[in-house]
Amino acid sequence: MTKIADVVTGLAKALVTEAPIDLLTYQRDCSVIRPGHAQAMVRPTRRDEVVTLMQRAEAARVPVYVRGGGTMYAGGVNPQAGGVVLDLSGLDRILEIDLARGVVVVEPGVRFGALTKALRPHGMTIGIIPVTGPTATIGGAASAHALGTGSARHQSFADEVVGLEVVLAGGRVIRTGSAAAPDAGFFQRYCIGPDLTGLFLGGDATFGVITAVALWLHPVPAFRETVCYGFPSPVAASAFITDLQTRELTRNIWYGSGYEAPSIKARVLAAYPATDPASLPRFCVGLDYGGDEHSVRHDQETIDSLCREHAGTLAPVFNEVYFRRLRNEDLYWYGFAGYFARSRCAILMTSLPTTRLSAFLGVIDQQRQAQAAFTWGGAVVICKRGLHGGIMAFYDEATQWAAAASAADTAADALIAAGCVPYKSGKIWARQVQSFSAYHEILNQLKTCLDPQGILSSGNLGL
Amino acid sequence: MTSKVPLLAAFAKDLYHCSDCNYCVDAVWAERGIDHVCPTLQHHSPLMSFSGRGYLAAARAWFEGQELDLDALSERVFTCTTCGNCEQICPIGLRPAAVGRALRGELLQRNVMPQPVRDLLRAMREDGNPNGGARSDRMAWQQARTGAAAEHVLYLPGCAAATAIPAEAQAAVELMAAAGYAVQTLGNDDTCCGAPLFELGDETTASSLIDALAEKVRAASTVVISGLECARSWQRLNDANLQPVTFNELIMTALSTQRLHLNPRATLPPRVFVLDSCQSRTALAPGRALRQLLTALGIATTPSVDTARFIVCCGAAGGMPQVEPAAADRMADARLLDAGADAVVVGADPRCVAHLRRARRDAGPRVLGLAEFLNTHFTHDQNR
Repeated sequence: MTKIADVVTGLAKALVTEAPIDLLTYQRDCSVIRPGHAQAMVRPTRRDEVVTLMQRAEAARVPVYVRGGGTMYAGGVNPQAGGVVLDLSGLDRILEIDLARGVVVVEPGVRFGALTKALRPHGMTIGIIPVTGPTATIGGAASAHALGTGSARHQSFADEVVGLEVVLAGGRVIRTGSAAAPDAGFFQRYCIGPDLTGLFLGGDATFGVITAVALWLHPVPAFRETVCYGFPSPVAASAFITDLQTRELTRNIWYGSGYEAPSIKARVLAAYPATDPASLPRFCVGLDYGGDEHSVRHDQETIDSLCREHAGTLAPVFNEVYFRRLRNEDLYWYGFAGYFARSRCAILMTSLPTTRLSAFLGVIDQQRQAQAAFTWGGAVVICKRGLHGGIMAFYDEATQWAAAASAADTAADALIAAGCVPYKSGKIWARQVQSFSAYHEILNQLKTCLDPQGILSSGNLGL
Repeated sequence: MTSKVPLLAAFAKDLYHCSDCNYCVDAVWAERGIDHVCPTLQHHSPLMSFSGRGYLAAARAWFEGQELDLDALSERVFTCTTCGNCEQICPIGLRPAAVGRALRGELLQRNVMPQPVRDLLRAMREDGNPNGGARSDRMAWQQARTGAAAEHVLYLPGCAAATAIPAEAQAAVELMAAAGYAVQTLGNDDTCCGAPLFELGDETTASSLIDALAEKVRAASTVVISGLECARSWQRLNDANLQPVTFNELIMTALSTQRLHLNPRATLPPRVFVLDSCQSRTALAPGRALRQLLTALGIATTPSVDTARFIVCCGAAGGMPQVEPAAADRMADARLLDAGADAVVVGADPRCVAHLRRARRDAGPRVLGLAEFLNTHFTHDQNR
């Protein structure tokens, strides 16, 4: 028997394929990273099948790449070392909705859309919902540090995780947080020593396979309203956002984001071609308020006033043509996929302090000039503290694939130089993560401890 | 490279633009009425190679010159209902279902297809319909309609109503006659519009069939059709002088203009489940018309809004009942489960109605075509 056959043969109830025609769709994610070529794909529907697979894979030293909805744009699911793709989309049960504890426990393959639908009758939702929500999975979001709706209030998806169940490379199962204690269940993350939950969050499935995720529940906001503010410069905008964050005025913001001048110009002129481009703001901040109406109105008044203090004005046209439409029609969920309307694009996600907004936008402008073969764009998501930024290079995959990957790598270096840090690392930031030598050495030691044969998601985080 | 797969070459832009976002694989988005996407993935195989994304990936690989296992490819692309939900949900407007049909076309040209597809093509060639009845029996349901009606309509029942549920075609004719129309048919000249062949990937023969049918009906002032897949054939023909109306549109107009009066025979069913069809996603909107019609007759309908835009196919289309009958039945069961056992299911698309009726095997809710439903539960008289 081949090594792959040793691993996949006879996995009860798990769907297994080694047919090349099937494996074509498991080669890559949305990223510019080159596809990998797995020899098999396994789609389990029960945790014990994951355990068996991991035991066998470790014994046979066969690489395993974990995949959820496949919506990552950092190459994290691309099976560059071959082996087996472990598709967790079949582990899609909502295990527990515990309103008293305020916790929902799900298998990793549950899609955000399915979870929010199931929670709706209870008047509840979860803290962070990425823009890929209809098709992204909870397990994928945990593995890749999702952000999006809710980031202004709760920061990151990882901050909303109560605990995890993880299958380690040799098949051992652990539960983290309060659930580490037998029969205690998930109700508290920070207990029983250090935060082992955090070890697996954003780990790009390099340390273990997440087989259950417990999340905090939150009430669905009763009232929503979108407002856009225009600023004469990114500097003014970043001062405004900094004030929002330090005064904790993001508590009633369901989603907050920032848009650079070319995006504003394109959107507004498409809707109103007669608009004088010179009259448009250089930067727009879009805030989608969500909460009880009284509290939202109160914060909105304060924020309106704060906007004026920073030389900003209301930007109702941009709100109407873009931001409100995003919310009302698309719930941001096409926002991500909508990026691709022009063409495929290489996306680099980064984290930055709010005060670095101008530097981040400067990197985009720098790429526009230095790498003019591509159309560049970018936007930021406002978090409770700091920003997440995305840089996009639109390219024609038939003719520019390799060049686009190289351009993204160049942009990644420029972002580091501008004081930004890798976010959603996968493989796209691997080289830069490796350059953080002390940090990376610890990651390597953890990897050796948890996955001694190095079979899990090789290449992610530069491991 | 491109000359080897010319049908795929036409989609090169799609193949390189697909960004692997996976919306066409699976998605749940309650606010938009999206509750999963691909019926084949839901009810046949969860392998992505059976999805729109799988078709795009396979087409790109083939287009780029990779050697593919064509038998394996054929098993995957001929197990598609061609419902087009993947195209509906694609955020950037790509055409994975059309790429799937192009893959079918390439495979047909190489004579690579599952045996049931071969049988289906033979049925189309020999019997002129996908349901297997003899060509001479196509219009056997027809009864002579006489009368002094002033306005003539030419009725094309379509293969499903004509050969699978002829009671629907017969009821449609009765209702149109009751509305004061002199109903004519093509009799033994009535033929398939080519929709099943289009779905199977044989677009050339499909075009020749709709062209031939168009020539036969060109003199008619009003052409009425029952099959929604036929309506799409007429849309593709895109002839401004030939724009048939669907049966339910005609009846809706007849009722609203008081050309036709329907009176309940006895107690009406308390609830009707409207069987929205994936064939009606485009400009047809029969779901809305059907709800208006039933509401006007005092019947409560569920779902209350037209769900056709993102409806998961019942399994009637694309050759699914012939290629993977068990999967097609599971798709039908899922739709019937939506309806609930106590509902009466009414559909404006005879092909869906025929499929669901066959799949329910005397269990589950009663499934009726619109004309059958109206004829069963109402008497009609004409306002002359």
